[in-house]
Amino acid sequence: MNKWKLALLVCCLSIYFTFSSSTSTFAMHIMEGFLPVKWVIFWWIIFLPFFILGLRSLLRVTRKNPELKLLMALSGAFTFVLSALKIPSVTGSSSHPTGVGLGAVLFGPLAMTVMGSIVLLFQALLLAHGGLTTLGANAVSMAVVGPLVAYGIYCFGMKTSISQRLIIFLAAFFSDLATYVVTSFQLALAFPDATGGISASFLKFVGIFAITQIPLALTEGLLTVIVWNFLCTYSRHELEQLRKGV
Amino acid sequence: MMNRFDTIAYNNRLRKVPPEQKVFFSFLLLLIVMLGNRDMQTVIIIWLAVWIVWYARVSWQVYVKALLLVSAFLCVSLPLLIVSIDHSFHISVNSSNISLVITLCFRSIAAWSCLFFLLVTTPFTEFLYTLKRMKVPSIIIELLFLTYRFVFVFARAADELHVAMKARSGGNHWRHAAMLIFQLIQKTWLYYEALSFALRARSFSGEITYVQKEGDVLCKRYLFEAIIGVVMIVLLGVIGGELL
Repeated sequence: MNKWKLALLVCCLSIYFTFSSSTSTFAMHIMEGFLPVKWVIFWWIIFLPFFILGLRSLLRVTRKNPELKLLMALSGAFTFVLSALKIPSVTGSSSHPTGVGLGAVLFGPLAMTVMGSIVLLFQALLLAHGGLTTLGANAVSMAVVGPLVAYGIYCFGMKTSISQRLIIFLAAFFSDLATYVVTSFQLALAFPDATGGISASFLKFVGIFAITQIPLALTEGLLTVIVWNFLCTYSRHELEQLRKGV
Repeated sequence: MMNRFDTIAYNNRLRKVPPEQKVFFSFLLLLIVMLGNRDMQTVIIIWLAVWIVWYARVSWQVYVKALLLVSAFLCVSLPLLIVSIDHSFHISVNSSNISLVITLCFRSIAAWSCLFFLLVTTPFTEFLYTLKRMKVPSIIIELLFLTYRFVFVFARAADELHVAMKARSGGNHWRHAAMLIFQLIQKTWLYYEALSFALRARSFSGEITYVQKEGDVLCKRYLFEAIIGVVMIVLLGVIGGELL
């Protein structure tokens, strides 16, 4: 292979990886119009009960303590800003942590379902990422399964004698992973492979997304632990207030 | 990006058109896109481009840039659908999937156009007002409103923090990113406390009301074009034969 061909190949590959890594969190949001109508309806139907449950718990809490509305909105805005901003991170690229793991540990999974969906709606209406028709599917992966996994791991871990930091890391890491596995599953269901069916298609999506999502999940896990450390050191009082509040 | 879209939403030629009309129009078109065939989707893409660039006077550079970004994302994800891998790791290109991919391309871009039209012509607060008239539970609207209020404050705070860190030659290390996030959390918390004090001082009882100015005039010219256009597109679908 001569020099120019090699240069061209390297150029193409780097463009491909730049785009695919800068859109890696958008890849976790299925874009507007990508899913066929029947899957749009299906995922909305799965999503709505969780949303209503979350809303009911939120209503119950805010009736007792109306100020918590502010706090919820604040955490939503915070998650959104994190996902919209480019934060200096590993390998010089920029990644957008989802913040769902931390949110679920701080506020509980049901409240995070509502806030996660609101963040998704904001991403659709302020940035045109994700979409309204695919909101149901995206919310199931990011706002339902992600927080549930994070909270499950956190609760289970607190009963054992594993160090708290490791638990927080695992919660954030696995909630990210779960989000991307569910997204791959949703895509596989909607677009089964012509020869291998749904399972082959699922493996294909999981395999490709793993390139960007596993480093991203690791980064998010580490970031969450460090933020948690800071919180424990400097904001113990607020953390206790949160525990009492929600 | 976010700031720019929001600014455009407040300063475009269709700003004076009642928000209900714009929301209803884009939702209706979205429904047609999801159910319709490729001809209808193509017509909708072109028609909405005219609405966005010509009627709303959104700079065409912004529109093209946003469109290119979406197309780039589509291009990255579409090859996955064409290539199929079987159990013995034979990679093959499936020609039957190519038509599926083209359909998907048209549907995605058409649906995105509807979303983008809504995004650049309707300010978020007016969208919320429409939701209120659609009888969406008030807690959702309150949360959305408060979140919207906070988003820009934090985006700015985060920006300032970033600049401050850069000015002190903070590096690209991920530890710095975590520090930034933590400081943002702290600022957020201070802001939350200040706001809750302020609200309590004004005897906050749990309900936040805000004023929506009335008196947008119904613009007959746009309404007329919208109705005629939608009818024509539906007719195109019926004549084309394959709705759904």
